[in-house]
Amino acid sequence: MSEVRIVLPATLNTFTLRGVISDFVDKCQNGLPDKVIIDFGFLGFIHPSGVTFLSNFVHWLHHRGLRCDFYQHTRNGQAHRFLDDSLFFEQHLGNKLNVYRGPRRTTQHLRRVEHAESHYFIRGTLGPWLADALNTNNASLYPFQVCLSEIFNNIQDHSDRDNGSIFAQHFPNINLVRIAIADFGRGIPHNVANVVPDISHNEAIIKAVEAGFSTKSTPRNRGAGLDYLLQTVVGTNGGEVTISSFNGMVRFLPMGGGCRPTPVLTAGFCPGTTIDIELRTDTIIPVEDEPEDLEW
Amino acid sequence: MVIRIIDIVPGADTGTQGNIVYLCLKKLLETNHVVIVSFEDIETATSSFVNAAFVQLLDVLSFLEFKDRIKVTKSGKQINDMIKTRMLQESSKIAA
Repeated sequence: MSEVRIVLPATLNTFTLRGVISDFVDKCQNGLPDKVIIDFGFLGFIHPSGVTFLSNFVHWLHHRGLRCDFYQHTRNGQAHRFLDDSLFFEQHLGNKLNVYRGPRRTTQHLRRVEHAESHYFIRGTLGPWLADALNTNNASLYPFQVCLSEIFNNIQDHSDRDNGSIFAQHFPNINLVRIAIADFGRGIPHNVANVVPDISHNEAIIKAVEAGFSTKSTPRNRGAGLDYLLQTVVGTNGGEVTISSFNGMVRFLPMGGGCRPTPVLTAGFCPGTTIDIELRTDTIIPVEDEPEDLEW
Repeated sequence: MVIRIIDIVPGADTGTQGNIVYLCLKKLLETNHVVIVSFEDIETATSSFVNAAFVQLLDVLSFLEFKDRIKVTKSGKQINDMIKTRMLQESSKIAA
């Protein structure tokens, strides 16, 4: 039985996850192995994007019919406990490592969400959790909830998958919420290349978020979803969005009430699309939950 | 004539839901000069929903006619902002 061993880095985040896939591809030059061993021995810290990516990667391996074993995952390190609390091991091994552990109050544990249920999850679970964590009302967070719904609509409309993995974590000490959504679909560069050939992967990501640009010309696809995400999270909230897809990786940083795309030149690649949202909790504008008539 | 979105679709989340609302509005506009669209019990609306439900109406109505004949009520700030932004952007494209 052929096998490949993937050693996870000390920190698994949007940047380093790309190296994990590169390592995997390098070791699969002669075709996919029968078994993949994921070594958790060196893992010391894992970001939300790392959790969603790793989960999708394991799902993908199983989807391809590969056996996937974990190694050194039972170490009692910070990241291992965090993954256990995030229900990562329960989702992939069937059980938590420690039955007494469970989701932390500062996280919305790892979930693989189908598009059909994504909006109910965002509205009924994630939104109220966030409102409670930030001690604000739901209405103040509606724009951010819609951002997540836009991403799930994009997964359904533009990837060849119908689900995405989501994980959220609140960092009260630094006034930040990180939310990562990842899918293992065909990715942004592939879709954009169908409309704009010969474009680099970073350019494709920047093109994909352009207001009015869509790779589909249907009444509902008018290139507004990702623009809304950036306007809301980066432009209004002053947070950050990082989009990683295949060889492309672009950070969208706040600049003068707008948003500045900053391509990241980094090795490796990210199958599908991972969107990493950093929401500032100290700049959320309170909104009254009062229905009104639309005034033009 | 008043229609409640919640009586037609379970939410304003997807383009598919928006398209159902669009077909309903288009039919009602044939026999009613003004249609009042109530978002009662709907908290949010995505761009896909608004594109399908309202922006599509710009194929049969001018923007001025839309504002005159479609009245949106019992909608929160996020929904109103989304409808206004999408309608203004798409109508300005048509005007250009």
